[in-house]
Amino acid sequence: MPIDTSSGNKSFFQKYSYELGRNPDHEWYKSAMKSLEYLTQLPVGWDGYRAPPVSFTNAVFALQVLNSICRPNTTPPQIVPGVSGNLQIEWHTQEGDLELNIRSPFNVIAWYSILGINPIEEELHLTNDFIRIVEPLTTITEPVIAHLAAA
Amino acid sequence: MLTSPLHNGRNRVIPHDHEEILPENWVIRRISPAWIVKDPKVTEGRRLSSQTWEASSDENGGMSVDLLAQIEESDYDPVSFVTSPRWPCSIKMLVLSLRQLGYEVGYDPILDEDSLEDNPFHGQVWGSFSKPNQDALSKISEWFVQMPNVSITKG
Repeated sequence: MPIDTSSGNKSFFQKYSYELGRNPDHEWYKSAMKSLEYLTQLPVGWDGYRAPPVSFTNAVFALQVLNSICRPNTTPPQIVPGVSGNLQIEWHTQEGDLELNIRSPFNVIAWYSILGINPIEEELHLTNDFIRIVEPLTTITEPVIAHLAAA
Repeated sequence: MLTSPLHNGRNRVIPHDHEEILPENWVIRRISPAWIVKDPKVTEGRRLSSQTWEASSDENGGMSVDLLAQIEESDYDPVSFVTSPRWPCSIKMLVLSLRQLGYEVGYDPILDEDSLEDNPFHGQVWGSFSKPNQDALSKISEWFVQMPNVSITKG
């Protein structure tokens, strides 16, 4: 997402996350930034009822999580809003699914399902270490790389 | 209309299973386009995110719904009431099915709340929204106003 500096009126999220982000040129980063920018600006009641927008703190934490688990060529995730200011990062491929429900900073419910001959499904409660989902993420989004790593 | 629900000292509705919401009634849940995700595993290529079936973390929060029978009793057309460009589609769930899954279905009108439009037909579904339960909820959901080429379930 281009940063508008013509008038100096960067959105607060754009300004802060640009300084925070270490991977501004990666497709997953640009895609996530665009999604998070949109979700943090949702109106109250966006779900038709009482839901607030995605909170800024959750959005920034989500970006930090993505920074810690994504490779340069990781497929951009889909990011959906929750009804409590939370958000969910999702990948869905033919290989399986991975969902990260960012309830609040350091309070993440990770769920993944890997299909195939030996299917695996697991749910994890993660706080500040996301190493356990790096391999499932690679398997789901980059199965060729995962296969080579396993060989 | 339904008998008004009880509230706690902070004006929050107390979770309840309203006896005037009958098993044969339906509840509607509006769908934001933000909840539609791409999934190559479903025939349509797109489906609803599991976040569709999620409860609020607010005090006594549940999963918000519109009560179809109460809308029908009023002068409002149900489809028109829940549908707009912001909520182009919606799903419905049978109250009996919800209760069989262990949920409580209650009444919680939205009236005179800051930043929100009044909704005298607002209800809530209270219970556990674990991953297995979200899957079960998706399987008892049907389109009320269908979004073309979008699956409710993940198959």
